[in-house]
Parts: sequence; C-alpha cells; structure tokens
Amino acid sequence: MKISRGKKVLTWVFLIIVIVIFLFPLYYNLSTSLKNEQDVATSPPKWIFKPTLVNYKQVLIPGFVSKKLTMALSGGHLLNNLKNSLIICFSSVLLSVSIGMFAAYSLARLSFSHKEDLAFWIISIKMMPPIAAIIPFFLLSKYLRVYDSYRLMIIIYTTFNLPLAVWIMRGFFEDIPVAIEESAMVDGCSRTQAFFRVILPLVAPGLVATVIICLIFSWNEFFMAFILTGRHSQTLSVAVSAFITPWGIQWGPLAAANSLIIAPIIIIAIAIQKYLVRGLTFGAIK
Amino acid sequence: MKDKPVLIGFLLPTVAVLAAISIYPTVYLICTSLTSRSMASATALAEFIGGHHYLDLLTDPYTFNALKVSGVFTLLTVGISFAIGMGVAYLLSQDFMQRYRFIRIFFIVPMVMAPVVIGLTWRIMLWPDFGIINYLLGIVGLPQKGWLAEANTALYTVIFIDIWEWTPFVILVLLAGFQSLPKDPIEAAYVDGATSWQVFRHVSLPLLKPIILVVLLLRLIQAFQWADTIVVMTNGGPGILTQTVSFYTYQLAFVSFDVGRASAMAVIILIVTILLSTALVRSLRRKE
Repeated sequence: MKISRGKKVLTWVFLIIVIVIFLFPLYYNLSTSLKNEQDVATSPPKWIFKPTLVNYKQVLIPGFVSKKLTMALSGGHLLNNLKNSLIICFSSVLLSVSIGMFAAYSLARLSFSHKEDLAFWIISIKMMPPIAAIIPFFLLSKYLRVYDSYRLMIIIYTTFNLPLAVWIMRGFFEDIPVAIEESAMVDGCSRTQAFFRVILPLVAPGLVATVIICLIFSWNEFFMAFILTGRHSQTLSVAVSAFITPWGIQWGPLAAANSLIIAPIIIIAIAIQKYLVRGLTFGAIK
Repeated sequence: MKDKPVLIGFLLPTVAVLAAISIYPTVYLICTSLTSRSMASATALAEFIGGHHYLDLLTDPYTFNALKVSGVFTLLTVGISFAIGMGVAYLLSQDFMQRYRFIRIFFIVPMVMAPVVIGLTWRIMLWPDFGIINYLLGIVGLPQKGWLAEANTALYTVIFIDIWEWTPFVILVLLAGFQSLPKDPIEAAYVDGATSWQVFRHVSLPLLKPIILVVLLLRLIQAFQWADTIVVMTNGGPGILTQTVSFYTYQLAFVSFDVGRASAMAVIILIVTILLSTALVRSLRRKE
C-alpha cells in the first residue's frame, strides 16, 4: 500500500514529539548532574554551561569535600548502598535463576494433570501486592531479628524473581525441539546429563536475558527496600531518595546519583532488547 | 516418559521455596488482620477481634478516599497510556518505518528507569520556583503552578508521570504484537479495497485481542498496587488527595502503627489483585 508523503511527514512529526517528551527527563537529569551549584537551580535554566564532575565525586569518593557544594552530605556515602544493592540483587537473581531453570524445564517438558494450575500459582506470587508481602515480612523479620539484613532482602526479592524466572525460561525451553534431548538420551545420556550438556548451552542466551530482566526488576525496586532496610542494608534506590531533606534538595548530587542508578540498567536493557518485551510480559509475547 | 520422577524432582526446589516464602506470610497477614495488633506493642500478643477491622474499613472515609484515588488513577493511567501506546505502536509498525527500527531503543529508556529516579527527576523538573517545566510553560504562556503541591493538580500530575513511565511498555508490547500479525489477511483486505482504518478496526484489532488483554491486565494490576513513587513525589498529599490504597495501607502500618487494620486493608488489595491476575494468567498462556 502506498502512503502519501504528507502522512509520512505527519507520522514523523508526531513520533519526534513523543520521543522528545520521553527522553527529555533523561537529558535534564544528565545535564543537571554535570552542573555546579550555581548553574543548577536558575531561571531561566542554563542550557549551555561548563560541565563539572563535582557531583559525581561527591557521591562516589569517600571523604570528598567540595568547596563548591555548600550543603554537602559526607562524600561517597553511596558506595555502601551500591555494595548492598549489588549483593542483594545478584544473590537473589542467581538463586532464583539457578533454582527456577529446573522448574521451567520441567514445566516445558512434563505433562500432568493440573500442570497449568501449578504454573498459575507460581506466577500469581509475582502478582502479589508488595504491601501485602511487606507487612508480614516486616513483622516476622522483627520477631526473627533479621530486619535490615541481606538475608531478608534476598529472600523477599526471591519471592518476586523466582516466579518471573520460571515463566520466562519456560518459554525458552519450549522453543527447543524435544527431539534434541531425545537423541541425546538415545545416545546414553540421562535426563540430567542431557539437560546440562545439551539443553542448557542451547538456552544460554535466554538464560542471560532472564538474569538481566530479573536484575532490572530487583535493582529498580523501591517500596519494599524503603520499608525493610535500614542503616545496614539500605539499597541504592532508597538511598537516593534521601537527597530530599527537610532543608531542601541537593539537585546536583541527586541528579548524579540518579544517573549512576539508571546508566547500567539502560545499557544492559538495550543489550537484550530482543528479549525485553518477552521478559516483561512473562514470556507471553515472543 | 520413563524418567518422569526426575522431572518432578526438578520442580520440587522451586515449589518448596515459593511455598515457604509465600504461603506462610500470607496466612500470617490474614491472621494479623483479625487481631488488634499494633506496632507499638513489641510482642505478637494481641487480641482476636474477628472481622472488626473489615467492618471498620467499610465505614472509614479514608478507605473510600483511597479507593477513589486508586480508581481514578488506575482508569486514567491505564486508559490513556493504552490509547497513546496503541497509536505510536501502530505508526511504528507501518512498512515505511521498518528501516528505522532503532527508534524503539528510545522507548526502552523510560521503561527500565528505576521508578524512584523517575519520581525524583520529575519532582526536580516540577519544582515550583526554578523548575524547568514551569519555565517552559511560562514561555508558551501557560499557567505556572506547584503542580505536585496544589489540591486540584496533584493527582493529575502523578497520573501524568505514571503515563509517561508506562506508555513505552505499552508501545513495545503492542508493537511486538503488530509484528507478529499474519500478513495475508491484511493484504487481502487492502486488495478488497478496505481503508487503513477499516483494516485496523476489523482485521488487526481482532487479531491483536489476546495481546491487548495481556497488556491491559498487567497495567491494571500494576496501577492498582501502585505506591512507590508517591513516597518521593507527594507523600500522599496534599492532605490525602494522592493517597492510593497501597500507600494508605503503608501509612496505617508504619505511620499510625495500626498493623491489624493495615493487614485487613492489605488483604482487600490482595483479593482484588487475585481477581485481576486470575484473568491475566488465563490470557497469558492462551494458544492463539
């Protein structure tokens, strides 16, 4: 079908407006993070300015004190939160994927009555309202004295990562023809050997995509960490909200911290963009 | 299959872990909702009071406020993000756009940004005095306001930000849907002289129905449970005008320390979610 030139131009104009709206906050955040204190909160805003890394140094370098920042928190306090986020997210995701891949494979290959019911029960846990998990986890963690610990956060993130991992990987296993492991098993492999030696290497890209999608969810999670972590295990997403103080907002360091949180996620998300939609719809849309 | 036991064994760790970390806390939540438990008393000793909290919540104006806020929020953000998402996905799915596939990378960015970062960034941009939004609105002669702080704009502002956050998700999923459509019926319709609107309405849309259902249900569940960015944007205010059900529950438990009542509210949210997600999981695995 031919599309007139006018319609093409209109389409482009509309799309460019939409893209500008979606990308503007990203640009604004990045430019704010590169401004020094005098350039940040001005009206009219400074579109052209001399970029500085002072905000990044402020949030990353321990003990950094800048003469340019009047209202500074102690330097480098985000490093600890970064460590917490990395430990909690990676532990939970690796745990979820390494347990979940067996279940996913099983669900892809087995047939038994009520199999779909079991699968639905698994994904319904992912759908659980965070607040309905937060309250009992909070009370139980106080009782068991594990409040504000890595263990607690790894467990609660696994509640949400494991169902997700099972559902995404089930689709990847279903994509592989049954004949492949059958021939391996005719050649004398056991089911477990066939799984590790033949099937797993074939789904490796899917496995990596699953890890990354679970990482994105955990890294970005705020509400549960906000309530269930304290001084000891506070994650990055909670720490960044502390830049809003009763005395005002530290725009520059806040913007720098924002950029540091989103940059790695944007990069890995673009790297697996082929699988992203599939992951975010729990494998429903390929 | 003679090695069925092995495969059943593969399922066990997942089932055991999920049962341990989901069933017990849920039962615990329901039990707590039937007691007068308060955060102020350190021990779990609390009186059993049956359905008292549930009856109380039914007559509580704050509950109705929270339900109303969540209702308006959910309907508007899901409806509008779906409409915009459908439009953009349709445009991106057209043949002459296929050379510009890189465009979809731009939509990945808001979709994977941490919600708390989105909330904080918009809060800076919407800052009443030096915020960029008021500056830009001033240039084109529109009113400048404390968008997140004023009673008549706060809720619509957080809805706008949620639409901004979630429309890219709708776009990318529907675009994947458009691209999975079979070419033949669409071409046949054009050959028969249908207009592009007729093709969209009577051929593409019915074929897309399962995917549309998945998108809408995922968004409904997420929007109804929404609470996280409210913490950094308005904290439920001004007053209680942006207090969603989840945020109200959070306040009951961790600000008023009324854990029993908060648990009852959480159970109500859980029930609504179960109804919505039962519909969702059915549509997730439907074979087209």
